[in-house]
Amino acid sequence: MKKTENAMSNLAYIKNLFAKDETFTFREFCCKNDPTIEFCIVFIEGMTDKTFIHDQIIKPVTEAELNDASDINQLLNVLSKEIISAANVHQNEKLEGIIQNLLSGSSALFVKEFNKAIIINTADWEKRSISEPESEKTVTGPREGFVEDINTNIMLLRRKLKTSKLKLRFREIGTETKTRVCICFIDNIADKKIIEEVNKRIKKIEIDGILDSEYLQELIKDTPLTPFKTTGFTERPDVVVGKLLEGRVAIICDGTPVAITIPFTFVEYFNVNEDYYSNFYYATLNRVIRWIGFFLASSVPAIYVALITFHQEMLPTQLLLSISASRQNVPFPTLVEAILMLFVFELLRETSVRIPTVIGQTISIVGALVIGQAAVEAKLVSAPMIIVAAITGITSFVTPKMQGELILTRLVFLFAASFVGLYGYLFGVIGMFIHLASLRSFGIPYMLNIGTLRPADAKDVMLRVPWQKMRSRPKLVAQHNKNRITNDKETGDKVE
Amino acid sequence: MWLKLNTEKISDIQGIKLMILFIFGSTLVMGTGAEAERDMWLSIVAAILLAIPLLLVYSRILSLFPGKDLFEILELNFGKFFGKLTSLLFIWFSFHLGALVIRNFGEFISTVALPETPKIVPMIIFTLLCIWGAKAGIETLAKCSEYFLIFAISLILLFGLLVIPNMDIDNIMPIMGNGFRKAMAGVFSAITFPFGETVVFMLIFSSLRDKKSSFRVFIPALLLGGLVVVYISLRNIMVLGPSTIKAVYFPSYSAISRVNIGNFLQRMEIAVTVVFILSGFIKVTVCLLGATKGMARVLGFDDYRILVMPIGLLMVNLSYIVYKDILEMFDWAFKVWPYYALPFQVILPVMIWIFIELKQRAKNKPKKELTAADVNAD
Repeated sequence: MKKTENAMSNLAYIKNLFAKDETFTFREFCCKNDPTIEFCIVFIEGMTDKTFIHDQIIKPVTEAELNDASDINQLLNVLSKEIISAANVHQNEKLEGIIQNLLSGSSALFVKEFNKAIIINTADWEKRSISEPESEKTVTGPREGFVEDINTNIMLLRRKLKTSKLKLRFREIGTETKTRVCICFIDNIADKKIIEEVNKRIKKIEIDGILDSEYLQELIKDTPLTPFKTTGFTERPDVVVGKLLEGRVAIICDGTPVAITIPFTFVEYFNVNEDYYSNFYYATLNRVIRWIGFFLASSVPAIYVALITFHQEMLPTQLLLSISASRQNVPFPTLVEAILMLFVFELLRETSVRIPTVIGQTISIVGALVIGQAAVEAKLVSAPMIIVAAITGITSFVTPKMQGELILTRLVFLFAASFVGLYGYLFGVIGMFIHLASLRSFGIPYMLNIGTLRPADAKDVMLRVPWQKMRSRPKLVAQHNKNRITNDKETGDKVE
Repeated sequence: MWLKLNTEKISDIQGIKLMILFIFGSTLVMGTGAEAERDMWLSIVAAILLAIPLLLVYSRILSLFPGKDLFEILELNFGKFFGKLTSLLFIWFSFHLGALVIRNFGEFISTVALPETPKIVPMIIFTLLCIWGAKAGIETLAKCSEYFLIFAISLILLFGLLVIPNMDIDNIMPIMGNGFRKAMAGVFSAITFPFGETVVFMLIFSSLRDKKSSFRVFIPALLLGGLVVVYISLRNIMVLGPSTIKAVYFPSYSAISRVNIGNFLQRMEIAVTVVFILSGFIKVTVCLLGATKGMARVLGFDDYRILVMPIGLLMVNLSYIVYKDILEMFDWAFKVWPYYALPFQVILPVMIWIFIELKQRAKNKPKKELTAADVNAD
């Protein structure tokens, strides 16, 4: 932007710049007392509260008893200190700053052609009301979800975390969208190294616009090409606060209800906030079910294909007989059958996600017919394969955050198994372990140290221990402040 | 990335787990100490006891130069030329051992499960996996071994329980019934396969945490891993009996195939395969790592990773041409291997150790104030 001091005043420049934008309102008025003092207030319609502008700015200014217009700086001070009754007022003479503020909903009050303006925060626009997030429902526990407005989201966090240690740092990302991004963490608990690393990676981002936190997640990932997530995401403030208390860092991004939590480890796929809101026996059982669900969703097709094509002898005779009876007239090899069924299932899933709810029923009826009885009767697929596809489909929703990863692992396992049977499947599993063990999320090993089976590392993985026993934070995440109850002098703040 | 190359560290426990899986390697399916027949487990116990001093020698060599692998130690003590020459011997041993394990795996698969698939196919897939593992580095490998060991041990325990009804204590009685000499006939082969093979770890254990680590890794791993090997051989002989065990190629596989619980839980041999694949993967990857790290040092490369792929592929080539068939494999493994492995596992390490000790002593004598730590520092 060009310096305009001599050529044009800021006001004239702004008028010129936004000449084609009719939402820009330039309201000119003057003081009753002394009509020579002319004011111009600039704001964007739709992003500002017009009643507020009228009642708190225009009205008091016109009615004020101003008479000395010789020193405009002085006049501006009087205006912002005595006359304008708004909560958030400051003065700015930089053109870029003024434009930026205007674009985010503030009003700028100019006096004559003077360059300095009073910036009054008048932002007010329609927001979605706080509701329970569709993607993360719970039976018990808080039902609030984030909304698209960053201030509301921060308010939701603040309300749960009334501590001075909660730190919020704002950054702007995107050359065009100038999206506000807030890095939240609890001082003393969050690892400084992780915070530094987050700052560093956010600083490096070069992009024109950020519309969702997924943009950010991909841009700050440790290993950009892995299908697994190394940053967590959630729409629930209670989850974010839980993670902050564990020593993680959260990033809230304006314009999206999805917050990012860092670092993210593999076990977090299987931990749901509701685990902590229900009885620990029940929660543990649920966790085990989720792990089994993961196993089934990734492996059932592969194991089925391997058993049917390579290791028939491993099946009990009765079962083998009934399976081969139902496979008798099916023209496709088991692998093709499996791929077909899985493809149809994914197709149905993808369709039903985007479809308007009114037509939704049609899909479910047609889908049930196509991948159900009709396909079996037409001898296109065998009945056991339908069961396999159904088990896979259902179980993959047990860990809803893992959809994409599951489809990929399932396919890899399936192909590996179709080459060399269960051995191939095992190779796939070993490969997955190598990959997962080599991943890191912001320096934290992705698989933590679960393999050691020491209680400090493994207690919050498959088990959800009672809160009395949950006195320490995850060992690797909050390395320097492991103890949740800081009054406990015995183990508090020990550095290993 | 925070992780710098060549600065990977593993904890002692991870080292132990890695080595236990290495010892399981092909031993659990191929069996060892078969010469002693019904007293093979006694042979193995004796072999473990005799292997302790051997592994103490390995640990001592490593602990004198903490943070260095055998190749660096050799170059430091024998000079560039002789150091590299000796390094090449160990590289060959590691390379060859890896190839043999790949071949064991190939033969195993084609014998028990996929007779019509060319054995090169599973072998290549298996090797590619090992190449991936070696590229991921020893730290990742050590982490994987933690999980694999949990699987392996729980499967061994589970099927140890399930096979109890098929056991017959008479199969091992009378203990030493054929005389002491016969009972100890398997000692030699049991030392060289698998316990002496841990010499390969000298090639990669520059990643241990401190000076004493090598002792804390080698000896517990030998004892714990050895215990399982003893248990497996006891189980096999009690289930199969001495005459059958001689007749089958893969005794563990045959033993577990006898499991039959209520006509439903049967044909569970895949469990043996799981243990074999998990531990075999670790064994081959460790060998591959040893060979590539050595080769990188000999050729003067900073990073061993670019060598993993070519050496891994050479390994699978060697493994394919090394034997004509499974008969030759077993013949070689039990008759030639002990003599072939002896120089690499015993003679060379002991010579190196004596040489290093003498050198250290000579270095320490003139200046008494110098402590061992100071010597290590330079």
